[in-house]
Amino acid sequence: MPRPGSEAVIAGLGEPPVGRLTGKTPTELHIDAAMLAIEDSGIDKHDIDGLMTTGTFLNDNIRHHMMIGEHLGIHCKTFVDTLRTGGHSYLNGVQVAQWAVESGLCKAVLLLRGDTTLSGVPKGTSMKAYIEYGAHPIEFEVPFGISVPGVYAMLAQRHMHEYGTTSEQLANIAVACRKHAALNPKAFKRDPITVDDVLNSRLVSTPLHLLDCSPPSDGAGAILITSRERARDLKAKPVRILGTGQAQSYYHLAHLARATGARPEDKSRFSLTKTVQSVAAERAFGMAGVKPSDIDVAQLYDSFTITVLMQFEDLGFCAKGEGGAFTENGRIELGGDLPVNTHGGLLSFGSSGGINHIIEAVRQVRGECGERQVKDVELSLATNVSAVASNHSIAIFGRD
Amino acid sequence: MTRYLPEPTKISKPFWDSCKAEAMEIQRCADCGTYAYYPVYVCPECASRQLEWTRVSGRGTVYTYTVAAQSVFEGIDGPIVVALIELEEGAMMTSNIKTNDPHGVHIGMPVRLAYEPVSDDITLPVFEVAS
Ligand SMILES: [Zn+2]
Repeated sequence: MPRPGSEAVIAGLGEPPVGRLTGKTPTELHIDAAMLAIEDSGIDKHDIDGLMTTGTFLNDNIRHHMMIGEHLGIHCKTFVDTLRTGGHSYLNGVQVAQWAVESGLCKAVLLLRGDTTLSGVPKGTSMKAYIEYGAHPIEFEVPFGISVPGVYAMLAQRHMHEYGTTSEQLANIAVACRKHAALNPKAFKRDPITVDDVLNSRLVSTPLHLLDCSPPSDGAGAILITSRERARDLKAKPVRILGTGQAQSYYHLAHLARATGARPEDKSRFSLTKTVQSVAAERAFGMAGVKPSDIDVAQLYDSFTITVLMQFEDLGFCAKGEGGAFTENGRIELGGDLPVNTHGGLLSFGSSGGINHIIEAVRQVRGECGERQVKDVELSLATNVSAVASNHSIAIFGRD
Repeated sequence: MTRYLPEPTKISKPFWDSCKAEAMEIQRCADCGTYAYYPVYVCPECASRQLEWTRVSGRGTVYTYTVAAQSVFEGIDGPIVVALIELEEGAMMTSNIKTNDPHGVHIGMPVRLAYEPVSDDITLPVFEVAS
């Protein structure tokens, strides 16, 4: 337990526009986001002594965090890193920042993301770039024509086989995200869609349709983490980080499916459709001392609809196999038991990696979400997921 | 995009050589009997280094699959089936199912190993629907 007053809190947010940002560069987006978070918090930039960035999709650089630090004029840091665990980097970053602040290593940590994965990637080159970035095992999966939607499609197919999950249930998730995006003036995709629209959209890789897949988007985000006592002198309403957890498994699908190397007694706990997110969830809920039914609103990483559906189960919002039914009857929409992705998620807000899920989770606690605000939020949850549902991080936020 | 072909490494060369010879071998742990795939330095289950290249039966079943509307690679027309195949020996591998009826593929379907030469050096292990 951290010393009273030293508990890490979120004390500043920065979120520039998202969508198609022609002419913006990834570096510029980092700076835009950082300046907004610094302004939101009211912190003296000289007090920022921790800096984490998450690299860029194209032209990444081993010294990415240093380059960004120079642009911002943040001179001497006592902790830095460029985090490169894909969509899971951002909540990993929040947890690392929490450790840095609570251990006394840093006074204030700035976590940044900014990229132009839509306008900055020349047409027809994104798949090649993704492969060369190392998204999939290049020797044993890529030669067979693996694609990002393809691997999530294989998870969905298996989930349908094991539990009877339907395409309509997956579509409910896309529809909920779009409904929420329609209430968010900043969202990229705001035209209403129906379950039929999802089912009638092009089949990309069975059973996933185009509208089951998040579109590429430019965007950025910044989060400032400091101690509770320092935050008292700042401008923004601090939000507590009540629980965090992470868990990672594997890269090759075959090893995910078999839980290769796990203790024999643990093998049945994990498979393609039973991810190690359950381990991260036990930790986060345990640390916060709350249970899934206590959560008022959830921002769940939604690279694809199936990514969300499996999380309802692995996070403990419902039993394994009941994720499909959980999407029904408006339960995951505003006004339902568990509104999900109130900003619109990757599926409709657009956003940039998973940082905007965290920003929305914090905003819901601050109570500044306008038309999409959930009433009286006490507890808000955000997740990040990457690499075929194998890298997971979770945070539970609450009022100070 | 042109097709990405495997570039065999020190540890994977025996595997790719066996595919080229159309007699696929994967590593079997002499200590615990686990069949490992992809090629490894130690048994992922028991950490033994006693790994022996062993010919597989070629029989397997579909664990999961997807029919991609089109290949990500140029020059491959029409839908392709990407699948995770569970070999009779217990190992799983990502591969393709070559079939004229991609939408007839289903989980649990028996398949058998086949070989698709894709360059002078590389033959990919693929699967066909078992009759
Ligand atoms: Zn062994």
